[in-house]
Amino acid sequence: MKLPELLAPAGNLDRLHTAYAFGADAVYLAGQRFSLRKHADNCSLDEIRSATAIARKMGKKIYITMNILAHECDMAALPEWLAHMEDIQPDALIIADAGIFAAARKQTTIPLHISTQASVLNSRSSQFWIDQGASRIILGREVSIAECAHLFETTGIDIEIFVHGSMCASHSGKCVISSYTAGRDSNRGGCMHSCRYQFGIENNEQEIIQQTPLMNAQDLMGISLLPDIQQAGIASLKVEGRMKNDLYLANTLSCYRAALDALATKESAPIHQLEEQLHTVSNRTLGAGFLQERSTGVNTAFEGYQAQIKFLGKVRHSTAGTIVVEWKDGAVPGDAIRILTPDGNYHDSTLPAITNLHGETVERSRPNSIGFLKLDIPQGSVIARHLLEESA
Amino acid sequence: MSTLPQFTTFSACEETFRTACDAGADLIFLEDSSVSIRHHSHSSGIFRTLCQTAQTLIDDRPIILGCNIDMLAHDSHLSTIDAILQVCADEQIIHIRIQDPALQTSVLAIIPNAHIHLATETGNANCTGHDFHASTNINRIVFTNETPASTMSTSMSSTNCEWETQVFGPVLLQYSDRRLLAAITNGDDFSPNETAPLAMQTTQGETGRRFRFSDSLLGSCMFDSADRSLLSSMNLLAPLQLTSWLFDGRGENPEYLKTAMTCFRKEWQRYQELGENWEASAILGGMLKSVCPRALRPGFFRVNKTDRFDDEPDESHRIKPLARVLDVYRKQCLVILCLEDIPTGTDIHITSPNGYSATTTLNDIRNLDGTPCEHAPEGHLVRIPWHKGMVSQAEVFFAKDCS
Repeated sequence: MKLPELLAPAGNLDRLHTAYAFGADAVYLAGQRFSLRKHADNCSLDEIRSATAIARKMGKKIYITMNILAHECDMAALPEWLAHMEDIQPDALIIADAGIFAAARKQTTIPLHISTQASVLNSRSSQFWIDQGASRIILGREVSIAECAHLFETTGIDIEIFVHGSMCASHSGKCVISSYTAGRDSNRGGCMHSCRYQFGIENNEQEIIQQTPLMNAQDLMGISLLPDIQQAGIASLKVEGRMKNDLYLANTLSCYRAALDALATKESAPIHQLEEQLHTVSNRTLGAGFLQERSTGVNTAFEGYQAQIKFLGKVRHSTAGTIVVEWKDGAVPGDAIRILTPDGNYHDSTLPAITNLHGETVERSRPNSIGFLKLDIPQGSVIARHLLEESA
Repeated sequence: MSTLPQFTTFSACEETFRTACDAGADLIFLEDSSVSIRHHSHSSGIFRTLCQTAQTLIDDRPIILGCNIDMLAHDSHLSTIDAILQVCADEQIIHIRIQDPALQTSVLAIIPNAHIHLATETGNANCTGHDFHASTNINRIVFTNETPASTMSTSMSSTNCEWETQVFGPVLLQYSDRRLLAAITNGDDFSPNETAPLAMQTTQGETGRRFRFSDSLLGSCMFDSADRSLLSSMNLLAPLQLTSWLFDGRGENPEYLKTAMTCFRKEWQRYQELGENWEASAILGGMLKSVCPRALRPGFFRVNKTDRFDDEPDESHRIKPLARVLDVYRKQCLVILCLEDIPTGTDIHITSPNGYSATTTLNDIRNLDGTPCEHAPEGHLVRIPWHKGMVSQAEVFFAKDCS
């Protein structure tokens, strides 16, 4: 049974490097246009070209998301964008909109993946899009592994599913709350996450009887289900999070890479330990979503994000026992830290003395600056700070 | 000479079917709770009876029957859909409304002469997409509520298809496979497959706007605090000459639908008579408001300005930077992370997030320990001379790319 591909988000070129370093087989990223994550960094055409060259050099794959549900006014820029894509030749374009799909099919030779935003949930729908020229279906998050197995068995279609990250409360792409409540198009990158708000449930007298975030979906975590996922014939496992930082990427990919590698060698992965590791990074509580059964699926006890560690910095240079860290948060020597290395391991330690370029001691790290530490860890490693219990 | 568009609506039981007939509906889509997402009573298994009752009630009136299968189906639902379609085939109901365009193959397998209506609820708002669907086996496209009249007009002039839009009724904001209210009302031990319907109102705490939710076997729907009405937009609506106008009275009292159809018929007639001199009738508008407990708005029918990509600067052609500034040592140096090889002597342009920029020739590149180097390799950290105003995260480009 073929090992599924581990597919990671890359909000920008820097995180593409992190994703590949921490074990992704493929990444998905977006350009400045036609992407649902309008407020991610996203890449220019020049950067997409570079990213594709990096992927080729590393023997990895790269998919470009064009997953908005386009309006007529968006379409004028499409032919030029597609011409650039055809020239760059990423491994696939991820598309939800029938108009963009039709144009891409006509104008490019690039394989087309049907986005989860198209809400494909069954074998007939999958076959329809394959017949129309798609090469892969990214199924809706509502499809269980058992349903994937049946779908693969009956159609043999290349299936991709989400295994980790945030989830919409609604069917993906079937929500316009932001459009009506904030003038931001939910399906053109403007989603305001209004579904995460508190709602007051009223009785017939219009008295509020309960305040609850009734649409605030729990995050997805499918790591314990990887053996079943592999058995189901699923080709690609997608991690959500183009807006998320290097720590989320490094931590999530380390865990899933370890679990997949164990699967490849038929060893048993320390799933419980990996699940605990996945819980350390900011989340809205983690669950299996719809992967095992239909979810009633909301976390009605939501009390904010939970996290045990926070992104502190990324190792930009390493030589002779000294590393240079680009800080993204403040910390002082002696703080408890966790270091995640691209070999997939992590270790807990305390932050050693920090010096600056001139060897002078620095009292605390300053976001968006660099610091020198006496540590022997490889370039590309990610450093996190343990949060005190009261601030977690 | 314009003709009044077909009046289309939904019905899930004898009572609402009578209402629809009395209101003057031309096309009535029958619903079953097993396949219709907004149907929030438990009627599964009596669809054939409903079809037969409807045929009887129609008598000799020229009312067309259809079937609304707008669920997003899992494989486990496909046999149910086939069974419903078989009932339609038996009862000679050929107008089938679907949300998932792929279900057209299921429909045609059982009803080869089916007239298929595509109502995707969201998206499907560009002409190329409309053309794509019309090139398959879709006979009618229902414009989604985010589609402005200008796009409708363009598609209608370029694609051969029947067209419809919702002119009156609640606006669906989202729907979910999850039973959101069920989980709250009944706790965690509530099975998501329970058939008990639930309907409840909620109000969003932060704004006070009141949204309605309904909870059915197939999941949850959320509706806007205002209903859609295009009555006061007749000067845009009538000239489109749509095939059909959709009136959605599901879950409302009979007067809601009857009054709406009456008002729209009269307002359309007034527009035909008055032409350019037409102004919305305050009397008809008042009649409509009197039967709707919520505000009435045209939604995005007149214009949709949400997140237009062409309203914003296009950074697609932004040049990839040569380097990024990671730290600044005032009046000494900038520490940069090289994203490409940079030889000494390179003419560079630096732009800082605070608005400062500088163009210079890079004659002095040093390693972090201060030793000079001939070039800065990709992926390395090096020092370059300090420039006033530059802060961390400033970007370095080839000067020639910025001229």
